[in-house]
Amino acid sequence: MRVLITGGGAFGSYLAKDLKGAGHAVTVMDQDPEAARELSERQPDIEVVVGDACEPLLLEKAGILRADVVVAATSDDEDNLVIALLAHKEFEVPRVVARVNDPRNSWLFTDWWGVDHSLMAPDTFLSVVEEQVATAPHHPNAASND
Amino acid sequence: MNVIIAGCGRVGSSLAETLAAEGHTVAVIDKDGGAFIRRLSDRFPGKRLKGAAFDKELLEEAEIELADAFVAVTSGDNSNIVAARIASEYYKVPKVVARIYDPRRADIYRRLGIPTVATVEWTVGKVRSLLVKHEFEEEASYGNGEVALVRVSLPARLEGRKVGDLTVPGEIAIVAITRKGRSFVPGEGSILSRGDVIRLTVSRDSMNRLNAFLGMG
Repeated sequence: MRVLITGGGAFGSYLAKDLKGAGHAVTVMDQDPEAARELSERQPDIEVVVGDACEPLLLEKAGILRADVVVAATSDDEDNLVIALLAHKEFEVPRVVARVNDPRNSWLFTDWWGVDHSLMAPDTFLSVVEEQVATAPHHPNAASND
Repeated sequence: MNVIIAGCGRVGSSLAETLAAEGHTVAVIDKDGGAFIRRLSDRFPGKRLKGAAFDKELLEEAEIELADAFVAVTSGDNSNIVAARIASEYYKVPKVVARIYDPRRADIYRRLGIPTVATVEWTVGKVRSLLVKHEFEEEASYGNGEVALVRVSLPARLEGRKVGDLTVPGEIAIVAITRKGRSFVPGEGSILSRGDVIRLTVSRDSMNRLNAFLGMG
């Protein structure tokens, strides 16, 4: 599979490494030249493109027309939504996965915005678990152990 | 009208004050609460809501279900697009406009059905029309100024010429002739005569060509 990941932060680069290891062709886009350089130094086998993934011409240069999967993995929800919409509507990418950074925006990450599957950002995931831990009722046996 | 304006920058705040002064009900959203203090007067009667332009809770606090118009003029193109699309498709706000800085992106959003004002194209068009002197009057312009309707009093050198001689497909078309107080839509073969006032639609890129035609270039 050809996978285009937009956003080469901790999340995007981890994902790129994992998918590359599984034998897929991976391209990562990041608009920060410094982040892009670091990523290609660490992962020379991954193609890295510097540029704004919300720019249709740059998406084409990064090979979106041949991508089977696009992962919108930037740390801005509005960017991820626009990338997903472009990938789906403009470039007819068969599968679009997008990262939700702020859980308040999760209602937007549906097929309405061209998103086939949404992922919570790891820190959101952590905060959900923390909240679950903090608000969990005590185990019925806990009282007798006190 | 009930109007929601996302973005309290120079454009957003000035639009908000203008519409409020005309008696409209205006709510302004900005992620920077300081913008309300810096840019809105103390007398501004509308709601000031701090947060993202596409935050569901905030939009509902602004009573988006009752809004007649939504304007997205934050500094971020993507925030504007996301907010505008939510307003028009999810909340069915009848009038929605988004401001876009990147002209290459604006076309795509127009195709997606979001009315956009492309600031850069519009300003370039305006400045160019002020720099390049034209001896005719621009009565209207369309889109972001790519096409203009201009009014010309027929110069003597064109008397007796055919309308077709002045037509360039895709660039210049004579759409009306006013003669002795009456107007008509000419054909290719209509003959221009002394005292005619003609109206032409011209693409912005062909203004100099029109000038040359009229003998003013």
